[in-house]
Amino acid sequence: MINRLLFSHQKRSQLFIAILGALFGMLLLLCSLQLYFDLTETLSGNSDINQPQYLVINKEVNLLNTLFGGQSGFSENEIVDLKKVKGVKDVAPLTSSYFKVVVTMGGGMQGIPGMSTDLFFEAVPDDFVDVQSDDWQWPNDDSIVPIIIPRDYLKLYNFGFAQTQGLPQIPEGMVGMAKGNVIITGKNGNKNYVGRVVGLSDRINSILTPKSFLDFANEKYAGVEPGAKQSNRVIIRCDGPATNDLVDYFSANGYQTSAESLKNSKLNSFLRIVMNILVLIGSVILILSLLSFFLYSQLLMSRSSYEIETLIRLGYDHKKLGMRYVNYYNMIFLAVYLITIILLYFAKNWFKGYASGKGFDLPDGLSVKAIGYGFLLTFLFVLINSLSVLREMRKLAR
Amino acid sequence: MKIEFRNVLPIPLSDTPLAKGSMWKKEIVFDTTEFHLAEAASGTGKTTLLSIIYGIRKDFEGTVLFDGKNNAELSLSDWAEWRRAKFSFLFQDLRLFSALTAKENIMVKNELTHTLTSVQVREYAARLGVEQFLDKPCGKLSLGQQQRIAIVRALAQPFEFLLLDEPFSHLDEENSSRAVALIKEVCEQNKAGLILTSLGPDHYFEYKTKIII
Repeated sequence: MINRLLFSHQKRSQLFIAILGALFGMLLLLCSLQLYFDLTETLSGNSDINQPQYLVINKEVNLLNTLFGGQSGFSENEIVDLKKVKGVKDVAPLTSSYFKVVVTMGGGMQGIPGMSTDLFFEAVPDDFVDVQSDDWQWPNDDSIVPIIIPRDYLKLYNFGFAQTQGLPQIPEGMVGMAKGNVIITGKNGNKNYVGRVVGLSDRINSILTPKSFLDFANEKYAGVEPGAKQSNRVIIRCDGPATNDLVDYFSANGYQTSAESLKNSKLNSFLRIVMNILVLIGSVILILSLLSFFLYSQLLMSRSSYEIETLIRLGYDHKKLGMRYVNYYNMIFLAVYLITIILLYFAKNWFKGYASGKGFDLPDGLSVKAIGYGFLLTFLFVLINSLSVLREMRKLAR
Repeated sequence: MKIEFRNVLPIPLSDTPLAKGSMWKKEIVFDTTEFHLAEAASGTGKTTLLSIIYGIRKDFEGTVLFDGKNNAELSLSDWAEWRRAKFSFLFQDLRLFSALTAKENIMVKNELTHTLTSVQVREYAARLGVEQFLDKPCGKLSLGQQQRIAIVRALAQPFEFLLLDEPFSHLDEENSSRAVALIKEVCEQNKAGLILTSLGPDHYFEYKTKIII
C-alpha cells in the first residue's frame, strides 16, 4: 500500500527509457573497456611490440662536422640526460676500436678464395647483446676473438654478393665455422688473432667483439684507455615501445635512429589514443544516461511529494520511506549490471569471431577488470543515488 | 504531558500587529487530560499553532517545551516516533490519499500503530455514518464524508494530545455531535488532552482554557 503511494506517479515509459539508456551506456563503456584490455593484452603478448626495445642512436652527420671536424660523439652529460627520458631503462655507449684491423680469410677453407679487408670493431656491455652463446667471452690474452656480425651482413653476402660472384652461400648454422686472421696494428705494436663468428645479431648493426677484448686492445695497441674517448653511437634499452617523449627528445637533440624501429611504437601509441577516446566516449554516454536516471528518480520524488510529506506527517520515518526508493533503484541497477554483463559476453564472443576472421587473436572470455570497473561504477552510482534520495527525503521531512 | 509556549511568535506574523489578548509572545501551558479551545479569525495562526506543536513548522521565535524539553532538539526520527505515539493531528486540509479507498486511508495509519482491529475500524466508521463508503476511493467521496474518514484515521493511534484543526467544518450539526461523542470517548480511553481550533465560539466540548490567537 505504501509503495503504491510512493510510486503512484511513476511513468513507466519514462522509467523504461531511463533504464534503456543506462543499459546502453553501461554496455558501451564495458565494451570499450573490454576491447581496451583485450587489445592491451594481445599487444603486450606480441614480442614485436611490447618487449624491451633496443635503439642504437647516433648524431646527425652534417657538413659542418665533416668540414671542421666537429664532435659527433656523445658526452657523458648527454648520456646521463638520456637515461632520464621517460621509458628509457638503460643507456650504454658503443666502444669503437682505435687501431687498424685487417682481416684475412680463406686460402683453402670451404673453397672460399683468399681475401683480405680493412675492418673495425665495436663493443657494447654484454647485457645489450642479443646473441646467447657460451663462446661470447674473451679470457685475457686468448688468441681467439669471438665476433658477432649483423644478420643483414650475411644476407648481403649470400644474396647480393656470393651468387653473382660465383661464391658459395653460407647457411646461418655454418657461420660459426668461418674463421679469419685478425691482424691488429696500432701505434704500440701489432698482433695476430683468430677471429671467430659466434653469432648473428638483429639488434646492433655493427661488428662486435666482447667489450673486455676491445678495452684491452684499445689500451694496449692504441694507448686509449676505456672511457677516454666519446662514443659516436649509444645503445638504449626501453621498457616497451619507444614513447613519444623519446621520439620528441631525439628530434629535439638531433639524434638519429632507424625510423623502422619507431614505427611500431607510433602505431601502438596511435592505437592507444583511439582506445582512450573510445573509453572516454563510453564514459560520457554512461554518465549522461546515469544522469537521466538520476533525474528520473528526483522527478518521481518531487511528483510524489504530497504522498511523501503526508506519510511523514502520519508518523512514517523518512529514512524508511527513502529506503523503499533506494532498494527499488538498487534492484534495477543490479539487474542493469547483470544484463550488461550477459550482453557483454555475447558481444565479446561475436567480436572475437570477427577479429579472428581478420587474423587477430583475442584472449578468451571477459576481462575481470572490465567487469570490476562495471561493478565499481554501478556501486558508485547506487551510492550517489541512494544518498541523494535520502537527502531529498530529509528535506521533505523537515 | 505539558506543552509550554514561551514567547512564541511565528516569523510570518512578526510584521503584523497582534490582536488584543493574542496568545503569541506569552506564556501558555496546555495540559494533557484537559481540553483547550483556540479561536480566532482566519489568517491569524490557528493552523500555525497546531503545526508548531506537531513539528511541521519551525519558523518561529521563542521556545516550545514538551515536559520541559525544548522541542527544537527533537530529531526527525523523534518526531516520527512522537507522531505515532503522542500527537495525533486532524489536518484542516484532511490530507487523505484520493487514490486509496477510505479503509486503506485509515489502514495507512493503523498499520503503523496497530491500534484498531478491523472490527473497530468498521465500528468507528459506522458511528460516524461512513461505513458504507469504506471500500470507495476517497477521491470519490464528498468533503463531509472525507472529513469523517480523516477523523477515524486520527483516532487510529495512541496519543496524549489530539490536535483538531477546524474538525467539523464540513459537517452538519448531527454528524458533528456523533463525531464529538466518539472523540470524547477515545480521548478518555487514552487519558488524552485536546486542542481544537475554530473560527468562532465552540460549544461541542467543555474546555478548560479558551485562548484567543
